[in-house]
Amino acid sequence: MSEHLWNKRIYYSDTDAEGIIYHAAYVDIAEHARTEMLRDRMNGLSYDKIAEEGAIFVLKSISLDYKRPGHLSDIITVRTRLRELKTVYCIFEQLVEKDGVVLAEIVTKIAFVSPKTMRPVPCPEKVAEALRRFKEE
Amino acid sequence: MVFEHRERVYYSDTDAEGIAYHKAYFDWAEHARSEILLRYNPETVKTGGAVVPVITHIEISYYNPAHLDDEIVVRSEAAETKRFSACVKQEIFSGDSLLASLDVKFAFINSQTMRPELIPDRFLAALKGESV
Repeated sequence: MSEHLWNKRIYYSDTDAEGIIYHAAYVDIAEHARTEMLRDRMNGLSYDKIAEEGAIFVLKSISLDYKRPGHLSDIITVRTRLRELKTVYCIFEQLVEKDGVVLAEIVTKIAFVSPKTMRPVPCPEKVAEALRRFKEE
Repeated sequence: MVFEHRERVYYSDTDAEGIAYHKAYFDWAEHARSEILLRYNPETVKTGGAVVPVITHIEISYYNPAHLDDEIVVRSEAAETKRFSACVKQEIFSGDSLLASLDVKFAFINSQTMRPELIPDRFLAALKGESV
């Protein structure tokens, strides 16, 4: 299973009064990493181009496990993998790490939805093919 | 006991799809939990104490989108309380429509040693809606 790596520095805006990464900041960090994965590994397929193919990505659920705190100025690495690719949804799993130590595990279920009807649709073939390639390469 | 906390959906909560961004629900849920504690025991939310709460796990499911200017209600209830951990269930509504539900698990740690601590009685009392 292939993975995409993305590095990010922790800024004040990511932290809370305890001096650590705010728990909901991981939601943004994970979203940014998935977006960069799409751009880096799927022939530049951004969300607007995927929408032109007939689907938008709609979050159905997120599960976060917090293992260790991250701190201001840390450089963290997000490992993004595609765990499952089904007809109408996919599941990403992501690890947020600092120097090889896991800070958080994030599992995100994303549905493919028609931007016109807002109903679930099969993943457009061009997008599915790119996702399959990322998952298996 | 179910606690209700109201919020309005502002521009800062929305994304390019014109709906509330998925992270906004985490903030609303956190505001609701803080208001429970502030209402019953302001000291528990102040930082700098030796024993502080940390979130260990969150699961959220999304059912319907919230929109700009919606007035939403967060309903929170203690689902499980143990000696070293507790779980709060939260549901976010707009009118009668359920937008999202969250399970939030947390523990307490000693901020010096980073070791787990027993959940303070006053904190449990606040969660259960008892005056402390």
